[in-house]
Amino acid sequence: MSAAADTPGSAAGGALSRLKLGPLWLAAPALAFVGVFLLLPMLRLIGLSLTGGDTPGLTLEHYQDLAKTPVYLRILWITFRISILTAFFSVVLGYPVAAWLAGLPHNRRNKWLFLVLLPFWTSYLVKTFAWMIMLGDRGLFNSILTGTGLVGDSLDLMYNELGVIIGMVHAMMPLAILTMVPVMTGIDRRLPLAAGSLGAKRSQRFWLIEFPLAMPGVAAGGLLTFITSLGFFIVPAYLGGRGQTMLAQIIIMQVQELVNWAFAAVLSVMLVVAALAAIWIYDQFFGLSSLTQASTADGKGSKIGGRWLRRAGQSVLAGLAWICAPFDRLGDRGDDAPKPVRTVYLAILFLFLLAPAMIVLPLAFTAEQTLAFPPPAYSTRWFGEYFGSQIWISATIRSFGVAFATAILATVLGGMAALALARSDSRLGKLVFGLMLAPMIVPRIVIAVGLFYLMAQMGLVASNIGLIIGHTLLAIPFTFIAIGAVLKGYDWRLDQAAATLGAGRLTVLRLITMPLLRGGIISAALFAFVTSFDELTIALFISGGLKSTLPKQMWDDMYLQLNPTLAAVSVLVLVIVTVILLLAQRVQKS
Amino acid sequence: MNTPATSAAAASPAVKIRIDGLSKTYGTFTALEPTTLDVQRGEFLTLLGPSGSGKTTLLQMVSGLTPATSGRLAVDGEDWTHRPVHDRNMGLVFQHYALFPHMTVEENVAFPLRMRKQPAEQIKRAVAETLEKVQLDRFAHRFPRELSGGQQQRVALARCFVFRPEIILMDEPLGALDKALRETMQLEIRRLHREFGTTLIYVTHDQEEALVMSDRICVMNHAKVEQLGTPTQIYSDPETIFAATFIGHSNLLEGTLAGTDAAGNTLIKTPAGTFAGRMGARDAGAEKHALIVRPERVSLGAATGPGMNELRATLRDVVYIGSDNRLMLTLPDGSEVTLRQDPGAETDMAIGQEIAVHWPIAAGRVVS
Repeated sequence: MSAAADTPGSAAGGALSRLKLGPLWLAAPALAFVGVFLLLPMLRLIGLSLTGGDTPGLTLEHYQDLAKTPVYLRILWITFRISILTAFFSVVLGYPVAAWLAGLPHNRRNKWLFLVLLPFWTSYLVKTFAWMIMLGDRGLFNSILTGTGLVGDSLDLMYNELGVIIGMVHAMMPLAILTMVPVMTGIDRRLPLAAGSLGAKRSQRFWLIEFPLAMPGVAAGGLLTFITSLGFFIVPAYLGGRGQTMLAQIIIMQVQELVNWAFAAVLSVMLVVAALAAIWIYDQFFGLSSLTQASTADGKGSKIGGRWLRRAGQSVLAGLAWICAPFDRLGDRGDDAPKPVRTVYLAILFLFLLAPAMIVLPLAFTAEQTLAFPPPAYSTRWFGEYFGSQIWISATIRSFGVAFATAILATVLGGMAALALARSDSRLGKLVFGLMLAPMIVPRIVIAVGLFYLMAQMGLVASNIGLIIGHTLLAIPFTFIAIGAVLKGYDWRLDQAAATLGAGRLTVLRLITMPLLRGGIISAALFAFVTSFDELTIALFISGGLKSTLPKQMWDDMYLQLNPTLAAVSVLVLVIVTVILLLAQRVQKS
Repeated sequence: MNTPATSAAAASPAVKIRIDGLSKTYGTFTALEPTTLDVQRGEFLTLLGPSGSGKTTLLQMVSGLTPATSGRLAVDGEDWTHRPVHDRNMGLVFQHYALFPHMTVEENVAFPLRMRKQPAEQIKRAVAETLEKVQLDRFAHRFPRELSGGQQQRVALARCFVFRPEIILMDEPLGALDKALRETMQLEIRRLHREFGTTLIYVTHDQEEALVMSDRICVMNHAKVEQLGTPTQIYSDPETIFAATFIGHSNLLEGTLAGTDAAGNTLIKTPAGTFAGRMGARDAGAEKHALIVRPERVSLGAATGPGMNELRATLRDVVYIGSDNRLMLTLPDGSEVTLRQDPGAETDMAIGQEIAVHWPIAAGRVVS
């Protein structure tokens, strides 16, 4: 982050540099934003969780209540269990895909990555809706299974843990893959070859070289999917049964139905603590910086570099290599030989990732009242229904407006913060970095509850401004990372060159810096747009009644009944997101 | 294609590696035309050529990292064409070392021995010994990133030599080092090669490096072998224009063949006159021929007797490069001739002056 440390430009403003902040001031607006709308509400929540007992002053009463109620402990346990399983399956099943992607030439990799990005940005609601159609009692899978006579009775694929895990893994695997790919592409591809020439067989090459080098990516993928899973409520709400109720659902219930703020605060604190604990453990082993940098994967940031631990890890890997060695002959052959096993696996996985999009598309054009698949006849009546509905249209317009405002605000705030960090070598940079990413680390549901509490006092509930603020908060980490990434590759000497050729400070910005960074900035704005356009959690609390956003309207509709209008809306959302992603990819290239 | 004389003895125990018509094509692109070549046991053979000459492709096929499109590879008379990389027992040294970044120096060097399931005690001893040989014993517990380029390169060498492979392949191992370090490492590699008696194939584009290190040099260009021979042969008896110009400085007088003189020397007619030289071209029917004379064989002054070639040219520049003066001459047709002169020699020549130079007929070589 201190790439520009020794360039004279970073010493801009002699007075400021005496404060040891220098260009870091540029991050001030974003910091203030995160401070007011994230940190402050969090403190309020902690306060709520510690006060309001039978006695005045601070009290641990609410926490004791939690500990005494077995049903909440059970929910805590279920939340952990589902999150860990989700993270595990997302990383393990996604690993071969990521490794394959990392091995592709740059251009082809980007094309295939799009098929991972698409499900990544597809609204959780659309995905969950599609899985309900596929996994239901008379859903697609059961129709196929009973229709072909494979099973007599339809299987229970939904309203149980299986359904939740399928939905969650589907939702999280793109994140896991996208986290692992940069680390894997950073691995010197000759290292496995070198190991081979030194006598390492296939399993040894994998377990002793490739896997440990990919480990920071694997762990980061696991961490991010775990943290995100902790705050999930859409998937368990629709695909799970009573036994799969997760913490976030209880928080929503406490706030919206029971208006038990103290208890909602306690549960929120638990979620944050769990997330922070996971991050702390990760930091101890790999260092947080490897989360955002496609680091060289050599454990540079590792604090626990103890020889004993390394030794132990190496023994485990050697053992794994030994166990796998007998299977070296199975599966695909190396080098240029065709790899049927891998091809089949990749095909199945991409099918899994893209299944919801593929199922929703034909259903949107059904002529029937039901969601029978495949549709017996086709029509566009459900699109007609959508366009004829005042509620849907106004929700759509609101979503567009909010997303647009969010894109601009988040890009400006995140971009300035990224610039600040790129040009500063202050030791405070690390802190700024952490704060900018905080909205990604704190579970969304907690952010939403905290914001709701704050907005209620500010009178911004059910307002567009409230929504824009909330969505901007969520989008800042994305714009910050995206713009930070292009800044990292930016050659500041170009600015100096322009200056020596006679360009003033603003001219340099206008003619040199901005044009070169434009692609990154526009794609950051587009990602912020999608983040807002898809967002449900905050909308659930802050939009309401006639001020619904599109996702909120879908959520409400799904709650009542699955109907083909939802499929039509899903297709529209998919098309919009796809177009935006394609745009983003195009500007990034140019 | 040039076949070495030794190929007559097919099963000769002196031949370690037999490359028999190996070729590589990617679609319509030919990375290496069918190439035949024997490498002697214990020999230091250098594949020398510019990038894209096919030298690395050839090395990779010998290593097994790249499968051959056609041809055969035999080691000790055994067919190794399809043997997997990890069963070849060859040591490989890569250009950027390919050290395992998550392992210490010691662990890197121990890796091949662990793969061969040697007892821990033995591994420890062998690693310590080898590290001492490359003067890295003090750095055993460092990670590669904590070492300098030269040190990393020595780790790569140690990792390669430690398991005593009978064959070692090196792909521009010194490419990333600066000149002084490169020269030290060249001598180091030569020393290690002699000490272990390994058969070594070395890829480089640096002609000086090739001359310094090799027993034989295989000059490659445009996906095929141009010439194979000892450094002396390659330098003084080049067979092609490419070989002559790629290795060392050459004066090149292009022209057409004009029969032979009474002594059996080949005559070549150039814009600067007709000269005699030894025939080195393999193909008298080639489109283009040239007379090659090394600068150090050219002397100032008119020819002093028979058996000499002489020409007159304009002195364009005199460059002092320490060990000698370099005199640059321009011929009437624009081509240039360079000669070396003892820097201590008294000269009273002025730039622009026309001077005569001469060289022995035997020092000139006609190539195509």
